[in-house]
Amino acid sequence: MALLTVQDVHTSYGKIRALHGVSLVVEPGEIVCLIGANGAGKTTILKTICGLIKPSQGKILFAGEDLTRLPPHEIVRRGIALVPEGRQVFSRMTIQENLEMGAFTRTNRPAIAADIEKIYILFPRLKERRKQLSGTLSGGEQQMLAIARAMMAQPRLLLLDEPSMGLSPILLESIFATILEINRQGITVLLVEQNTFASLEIAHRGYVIQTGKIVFDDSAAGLKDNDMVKKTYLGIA
Amino acid sequence: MTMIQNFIAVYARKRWLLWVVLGLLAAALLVMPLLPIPQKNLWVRILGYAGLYILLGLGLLIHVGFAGMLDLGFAAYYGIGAYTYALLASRQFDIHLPFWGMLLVGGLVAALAGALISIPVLRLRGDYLAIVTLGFGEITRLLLLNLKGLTNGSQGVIGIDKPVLFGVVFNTGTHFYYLIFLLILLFTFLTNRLIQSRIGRAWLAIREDEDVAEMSGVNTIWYKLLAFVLGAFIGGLGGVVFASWQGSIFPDNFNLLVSINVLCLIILGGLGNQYGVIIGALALIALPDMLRGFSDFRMLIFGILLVVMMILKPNGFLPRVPPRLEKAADGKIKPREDRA
Repeated sequence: MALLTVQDVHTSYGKIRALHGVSLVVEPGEIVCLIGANGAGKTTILKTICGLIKPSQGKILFAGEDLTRLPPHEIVRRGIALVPEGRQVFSRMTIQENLEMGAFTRTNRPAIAADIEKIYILFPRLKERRKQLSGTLSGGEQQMLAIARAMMAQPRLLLLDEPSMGLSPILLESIFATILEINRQGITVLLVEQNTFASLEIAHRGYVIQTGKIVFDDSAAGLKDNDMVKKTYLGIA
Repeated sequence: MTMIQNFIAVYARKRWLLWVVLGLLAAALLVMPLLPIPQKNLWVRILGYAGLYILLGLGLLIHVGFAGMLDLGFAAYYGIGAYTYALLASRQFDIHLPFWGMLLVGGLVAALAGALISIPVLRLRGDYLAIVTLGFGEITRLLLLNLKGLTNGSQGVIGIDKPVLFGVVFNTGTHFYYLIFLLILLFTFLTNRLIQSRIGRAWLAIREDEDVAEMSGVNTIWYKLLAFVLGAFIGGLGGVVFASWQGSIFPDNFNLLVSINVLCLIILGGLGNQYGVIIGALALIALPDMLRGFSDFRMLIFGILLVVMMILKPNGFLPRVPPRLEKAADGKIKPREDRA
């Protein structure tokens, strides 16, 4: 059974319709990427999945359960975590507090402490700076922290919104390596990225979205070979 | 000024020094009414009044400092608490309910008002919330002014009962001074526990970023409601004390300036810190009275001091400091790398 099923979802911001019937499926263990231009509706899809925006029509099923009517804090408890666009960390909290905040839904303190230690192994930079206010971190470190915080919720599905935004090529590589590592630990990933080339390198499959509609989907290799994708998103003639 | 700045810099690093300073301050304030000081009654009155503002500050701190909801109508809860007591323990309707129970009831009525106003506004953010609460504060004052059958309008409610404890009637400023002192100790302790709890953590997250807090599993609507209710409770309780101390209250005691003053003192003290509220209230409320020697120039000097203060310490006297270092696995406390 698919982990996540988005069925014919329509979403609008007031009178402006952002999604016109989006359907997609994410299988357990996959990395799936959403490819599309600015304003195509990629972020809206993620926000709709995690309940920050309610769809006007359509259904979102997670492990068979309908999420459409649940508030976001309940959806987190079901096992979906979002790493929002633009590295939104709790900037006036320390790194340690940010991580603890990520585990807000959990009550088992020893397990939380153990997970924080695991996070510090994955991100040694964060350990060095655990007592620092996270607003003082560099952009790349904040992105690491945003991912780490989402991981603290013990998600089964991790939604990543533009994790490479504004990062240097070296940092981009390390962020993508981290995403691969997270996936290897058994967490399913739905990735939204402007950097189509990099995301097709790590994804299993991808969906191409244009003005609020999925236009087609294929394996990552298939998308890399697709003429339209090459021309529009990879810049290869 | 640099001396003060150095001092602040030192105690920002050494929290125990802050405790020593606060302890000495508390001890000095505790014995002050017993000492033979010239114009003692005036001092008791000024500091008692500042104490009331500390209480209000602790309430508003929950709204603004902890949960990040800009509330410009805090005087409403103060007024509702005060009028609840005034109407149920005065000559107005010849009802005389005991003060100690009413202290709780006044707080609860204000908390209920806080819950009612918060229901429509919980989905609003920032500026919109500020405007709605501003309106709520003014509407409350106008209702107190115009519901003449109930509140006696601008004539106010007079002949409000004094608290009685073990047969002792609270009829001097010193009695109220100590009552307020105890309430400040109690609520400083309680708000301190609160901010370090899971609830406090959720509030701070909401203050930082509501969407991300929600996505971390915080039921933001519920925690914001809780903040509104608890803050309003403290405001209402302050109102009961005020009404019983003054003996008569008028709608104008709860005007916009009260809300603004309470907001100013918590900003001055450094948002997100109970001890800052104490320092902020002493500076903002007691200082204008202490400057009486300058007569006409008093408010001018006060204004200049405020401006200078905010330039020197834009984050207030005592901004929130992250929790202390915990012990590392080997049991040793590690030095902080960012210490110069």
